Amino acid sequence: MSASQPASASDPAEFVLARLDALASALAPGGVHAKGLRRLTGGASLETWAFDIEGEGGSRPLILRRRGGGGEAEVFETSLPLPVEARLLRAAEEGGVPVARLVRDCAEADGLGEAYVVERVSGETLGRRIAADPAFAPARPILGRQCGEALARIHAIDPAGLPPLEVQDGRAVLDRYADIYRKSSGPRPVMEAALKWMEARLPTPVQPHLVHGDFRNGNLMVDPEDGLTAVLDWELAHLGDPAEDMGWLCVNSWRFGVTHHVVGGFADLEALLDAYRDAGGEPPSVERVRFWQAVGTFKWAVVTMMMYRTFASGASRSVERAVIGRRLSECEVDLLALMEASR
Amino acid sequence: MIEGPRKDELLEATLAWLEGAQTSADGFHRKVAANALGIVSRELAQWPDAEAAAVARMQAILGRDGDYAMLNTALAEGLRDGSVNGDEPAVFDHLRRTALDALAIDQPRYRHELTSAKDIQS
Repeated sequence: MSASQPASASDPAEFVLARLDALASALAPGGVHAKGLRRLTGGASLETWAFDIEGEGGSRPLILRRRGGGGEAEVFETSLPLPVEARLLRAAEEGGVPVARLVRDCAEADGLGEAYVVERVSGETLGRRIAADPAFAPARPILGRQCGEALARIHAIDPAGLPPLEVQDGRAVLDRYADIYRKSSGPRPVMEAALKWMEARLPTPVQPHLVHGDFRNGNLMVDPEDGLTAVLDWELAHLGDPAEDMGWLCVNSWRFGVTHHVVGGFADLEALLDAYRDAGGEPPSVERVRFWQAVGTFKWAVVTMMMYRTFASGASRSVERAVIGRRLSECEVDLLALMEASR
Repeated sequence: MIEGPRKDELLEATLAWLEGAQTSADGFHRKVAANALGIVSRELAQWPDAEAAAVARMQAILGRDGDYAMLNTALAEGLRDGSVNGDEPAVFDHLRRTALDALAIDQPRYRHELTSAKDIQS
C-alpha cells in the first residue's frame, strides 16, 4: 500500500548490513558476507529487506523481516509478533503449504531486534500483473486450484501445535469493524445497510481453524509458468472460520479489474472450492463465502477510513493516504453489488 | 470579480501538466497527485447535480425537508434503527445511484458488479 522508501546510506541500512554480515555463516553454509542489501517495503514499522549471503557455496538470496522503529502511523495494531509469525511459517511448511522457508528466527544476540530471515522466493506479487498481464497467462488457469489446495492445508494445521492465537468468529469480526467504522466516520447509509445485511446472514459458528487472515491476490508469490510459489504475509493469522479466507480472496478490490473471475481476478469460486475439497478440506457453502466476502469488503472500507484518518489527524501528510479515503466509494459499490445479488 | 482563470481551468492545466510531466523522479507520487486533482475536477463538475438528485430522493424516502448532510445522516440512522428498510426498492435505488455517482467522481475506471442505474430503467 505504500511506496518503497529508499534507505539513506547513514541510517538503518548500514546498521542492518553490519548485523547480517556478522550472521553470514549462520544464514548460509559457508557464508562469509552479506551483500546487495535493499529495502523492499516501507511505510509501516514492519521492514522488509532483500539481501544475499555470499561465500564458498555461492550466493544465497534471502529476505529479512524486521520490526523497526517509527515509520508511518500503523493502520492495523493487530499484527502478530514476528517470532509468532516465524513459528506459523514453520508449521505451514511442515503442512505442505508453499511458503518462503524460514532460515532464522532471530535471537536477541543477533542485534536486529524482532526479526526473522526467510529464503527469497522468485516470482511476482503485484496483483494487477498476476490478474491481467499476458506473461501470467500460463499461471492463471492453475492458480485457482493451487490456492484451494494451499487453503485446505492451512486450515488443516492443528492449532494445538501453534502459539496461542486470537479466536475471531463472524460476530466478533463484524462487531470489531462496526465499532471502528462508527469511531472513524459519520453515519453512512450504505455501511448501515451492509451491517444489517450481514447481521441477518451471520453464519453458525464452526470449530475454529487456523485462518491466514490476509490471503489475497497481492500477498501471493506467483511464477508466470508454475503459478503459486509462496503464501506471504502471515501477520494477521488467527483462529476462526475457514470461509473467512475464501471470502477475503473474492473481494472485488483484489480482482484488479478482472471482475468476472471472482477469485483474485484469476479463477472462479467453483474451481477454488473443488480444489479445496480434493485436498481434503470441507468446502463452505457459497452463502458462507459471500457473507465473508461482504465482511472483507466492509473491513477494507473501514481500512480506507482509517488511512484517511491518519492523514486528517496530521499523523501522515502523504497525498496517497488522503486519496485512499476516496476508495471508500469502491467498497460501497461492492457492498451494494453483494446485496443486489441476494435480492 | 475574478475574470479568469476559473478554478476548473487551473485544475485542468495543472492536471494536464502532472499527467504529461516527463520526469521519472517521484513518478508514483506524481500519479497520486494527478489522481487527487482528477477527483477534485470531477467533483466540481458532477457533484452539484448528483447532490440535488440525492436530496430529492431522500426527501421522498424520509418524507421531510433538509439539506444533503441532514438527510443523509437521518437515512443512515433510519437504516440502523430499522425504521428504514434497505431492501425497499426506492431505498436500494437511492443507495445505488448515490454510490455510483460518488464512484464516477472518485474512481471512474473501477470495474464492479453493481447494475448501473440506467440498466435498471431499461
